[in-house]
Parts: sequence; C-alpha cells; structure tokens
Amino acid sequence: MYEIIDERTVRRILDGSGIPLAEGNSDYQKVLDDIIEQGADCFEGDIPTELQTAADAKEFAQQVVAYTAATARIAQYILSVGREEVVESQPTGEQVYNEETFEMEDVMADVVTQTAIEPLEATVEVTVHGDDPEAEPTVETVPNPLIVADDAERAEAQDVIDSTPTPVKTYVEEQ
Amino acid sequence: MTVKITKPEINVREQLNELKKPAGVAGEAMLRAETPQEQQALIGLGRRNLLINGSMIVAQRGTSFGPSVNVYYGLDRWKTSRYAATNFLVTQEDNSYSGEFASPHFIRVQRQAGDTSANALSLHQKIESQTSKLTRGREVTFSFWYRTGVDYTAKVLRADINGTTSTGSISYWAYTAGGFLKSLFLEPTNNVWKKATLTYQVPNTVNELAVVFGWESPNLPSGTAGSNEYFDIAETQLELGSVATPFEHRSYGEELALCERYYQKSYDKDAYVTGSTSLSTVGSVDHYGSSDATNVLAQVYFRTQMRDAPTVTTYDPNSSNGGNAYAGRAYVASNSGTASYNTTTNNIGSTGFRSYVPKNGAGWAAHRIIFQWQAVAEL
Repeated sequence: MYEIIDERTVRRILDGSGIPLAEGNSDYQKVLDDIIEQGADCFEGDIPTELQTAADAKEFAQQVVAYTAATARIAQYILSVGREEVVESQPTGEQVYNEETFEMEDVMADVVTQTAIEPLEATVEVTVHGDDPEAEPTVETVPNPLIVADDAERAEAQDVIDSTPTPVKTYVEEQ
Repeated sequence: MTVKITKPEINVREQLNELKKPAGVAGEAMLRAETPQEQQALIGLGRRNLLINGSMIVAQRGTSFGPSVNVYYGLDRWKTSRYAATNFLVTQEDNSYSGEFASPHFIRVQRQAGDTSANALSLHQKIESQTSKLTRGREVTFSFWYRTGVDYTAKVLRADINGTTSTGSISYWAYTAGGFLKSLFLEPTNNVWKKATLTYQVPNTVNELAVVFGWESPNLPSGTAGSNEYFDIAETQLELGSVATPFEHRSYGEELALCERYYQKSYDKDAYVTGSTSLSTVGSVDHYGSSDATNVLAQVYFRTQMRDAPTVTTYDPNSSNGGNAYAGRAYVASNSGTASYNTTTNNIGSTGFRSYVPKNGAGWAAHRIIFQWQAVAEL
C-alpha cells in the first residue's frame, strides 16, 4: 500500500519509506507495477493523476513489446507445415534498349527470396528404458517434441495477440 | 706517435646467442608495440574491473542474511533471489589464506540445513547501463574463484554473463526482456578453491549487463540440505578483453565510495538495520526545531552522490524502539515527553532528502528529532 506525500514523493506504508517519483528508482517502478496489477487497491485514497498516467504509459509500453514479439513469433513458419519456396522477378541491374518502345528497360531475373523448408515428421520414435536394467528397451512413437513446443509457443503468442487492446495494435501497426 | 690499443676479444657467436632471449607471445607483442599507450593497453593497467565490490569486502547492510525473505541485497551490490523459497543464507566469510587468493573475504550462499525445497537460486550483480555500454560489440572476460561445500547436491554450479537490450529486472536468472547470456557449468569442487574464466562477445545492442551465479533447472539441489551445502565466490572480475588479468585490488575506502552510489546509511560501520534489536544513535540525525515551526524537520546530505533519487527509510534509534519494527519513524523529545513518531520523508534527490515530524500542537514548545536512515538506489 502507498499514499501520496506530495507531487514528487510516495510513502510505502509498510515501512514508511519515502519513494521519489524518479524513473530510475526501482521502487518507483514497483509502485507503477502495483498500480497496473492492483489498481486503486494498492493506494490509500485516489491514485494521483500523474501516477496513473505514468502507470498507463508503462503498461502500454509493455504491451507494445509483448505484442511485437508475439506477432513476430506467429509470423514464423509452422514446423508441422513447412514453408514453400517463393520466387520473385527482380531487376538484375542491367538494362537493354527496347526497339519497340524506344526506351531502356531493366533485365529481369527470377530470384528465390524464400527457400522451401520441408515439414517436420509429425511423430518420432524414442527408445524407452524400463526400470528393469536387464529388460530390452522398447521403441515408442511419440509426437515430435519440436512440433509440440512450436504449437505451444504459437498458442501462447496468439493469446497475447488476442488479449492486446486495440489502441496498442493500432500503434504497432502504424510504426 | 703511434698509439697501440688493445681490446678484449669478442666472441661474436656468443653475443648473438645472448640476443636470442626466450620471449613469449606477450613479450614479443610488448616489443612490437610502438607507443607507451599500446604497451599500457597490452598490460591492461588499472580500473579494469567493471564489477563493484568484486572482492566482497564491503558489507554495509550486514555480514549475515536470511532466511526470512526470498529476494534481498546482502553484501553491497550483490543481490540474491530464490524462486518461491526462503531457506537460504548469505554470509560474508573470512579468507583462511590457504594460498588461492589474497582478498580478505568471500561470499557464501548456502542452502539452509534441513531445507528440502529444490528451487532455483541466483546471486547476481547488475551493471549500470552507462558502464555496460562500454562493452558494446567487444569481448569481455569474467573471472572468479569458487568452491562448493562437501554437501553440495546440484550437479553443477552455474555462472553467467547476462545482458539485455533494454532495462529491466533479472527474474532469478534471465532478464525479463531482450535478454541474452553465456553460461559456464562448473563441476562441484568438494571444498577446494578453483578459478574459472568466461569470455563473451557482447552484442552491440547491449544496454545492461549482469553476472550471475547459482543453480537453475535442470541442475537443482536435491534431498534434504546438509550443513555444508553452499557455494563460495571470491575475487570476481569482469573486464574488457579476452584474457583474465590478475584481480584488481581496490582499497576499502575506494570500494565503499563506489558502493555508496547505490546504498548509504547513517549507522556506524558495524551497525545494521536488522530485526528489532537495539540500535545505536551513533551517526544519527539529531536536530532541534524552533518552537514556532510547523514541523520538526531535518535536512540530510548524502556523502556520495547517488545513482538516482533513492528510496529513503528513517528509523527510530531509541534503545527500546530500534530496527525494522520502527521503520519510517523518528524519536522525538519535547517538553511534553519522548515518543516515537512516524516521519514524512520528501524532497528526495541524488544528493539528499529531508524528514520531518509534524508538530504536535501546543504541547511541543521545545522539540528534538533523532533518526537513523538508509537510502537505496540499487538497479
């Protein structure tokens, strides 16, 4: 719990410490985190406007970082699907004279801008050793752990994207 | 007139052999250097250690900590965190001088005897951004002495150079955002001191560096802790370059001044803010207020300018009120008696602060405020 002392200081009620509203002070950052997480419950009386504004700005910045990372993660190819080759026609830097149009034109060439990647095998075989050291190990087929991890990370990133407020998405997309 | 001069015979072959003195790679590099600046850079003279209190000599908060909380600063600049468990101890130990290193102290982090939790633990020091940026795009070398106790159960002792492209907190092991690291996994040493080094090419986007020791999944302690389940760390040094040079010894006064940029206290050097034990008034602020003032107020100036405006806590130093139980308070003596009062601390900056107790109506014709304080501007 906190209470405001003046426009530059907050008191932490637990130990009576004076916390300056200085960005580089780690306890001040904790005050902002507590306002983000607990809202008015962490403050005696109303949260001063200046503090609420700073907390909102910090939360916005955190959401921008999380949303940017999540969209970058989702943009990666899906391991179980693989990736198709992409070929683009690009100018080579040479030009030739077109006698029909009487203009110089770029010489174009096909360039692979994205290489193809085969999908991973959906399952893998693992050798399992039982508790009995003299027993023969068995071979089991299990879901490919790389695909399992990929799917879990993608699901986590999608959750972040889904829970991100629209103003944050708009801000990131406009950057 | 003819002058006859005789000179001793010279064996030219022997003279040439004398020139073939054995010279190592470093010696030849020194001979090839064209300026004193190049020679100094080769030797790496002075101000090499980017860590503060690398010798574990400064202990302003005390010399023994734990096990009541899971995150705290122990010896100056060194923070210990344990994930969801508190049963660990941090102590400043004396060097027994068995020949390994010269510093008088080392730090011990110990799983408390009888503890059954296997949670991760880290001991780390974060380096301020303006210092960390010196390492951008360059190699750094981290060197230190270490040993593990005979009851140490984790498979390895881990040591990291950890960094982030942003600013932020280290969540036990990794920075919470923009982090990268290089790790060293050290075999337990059964109470024998060993020296280790770790070299790392720092990304040119680094904003903040840290060094970290401890245990982390999957190399966690197991079973019930014995009385010697600990790791000891001494003479930590992080420096530019790919070679670990000898440890840079700084004087206690120098090291203390560096630490005071992050933590200061009014208490005498061997008095600490711990528990609820009696505390001395030595070093305390002792101020008489005027009879017509609204508040009994005292202004304090820091000995060293701090990193940023710190968090300031006052303590009532009265023999019956001392310690954490009387944090945020001061001892007030007036014509109506003596008592412990809550203080208000404000006007906090990197050079000082003020604390006051509102005057208690007409009862305080004469009054005196006494308090100890600590100021924290850690990263």
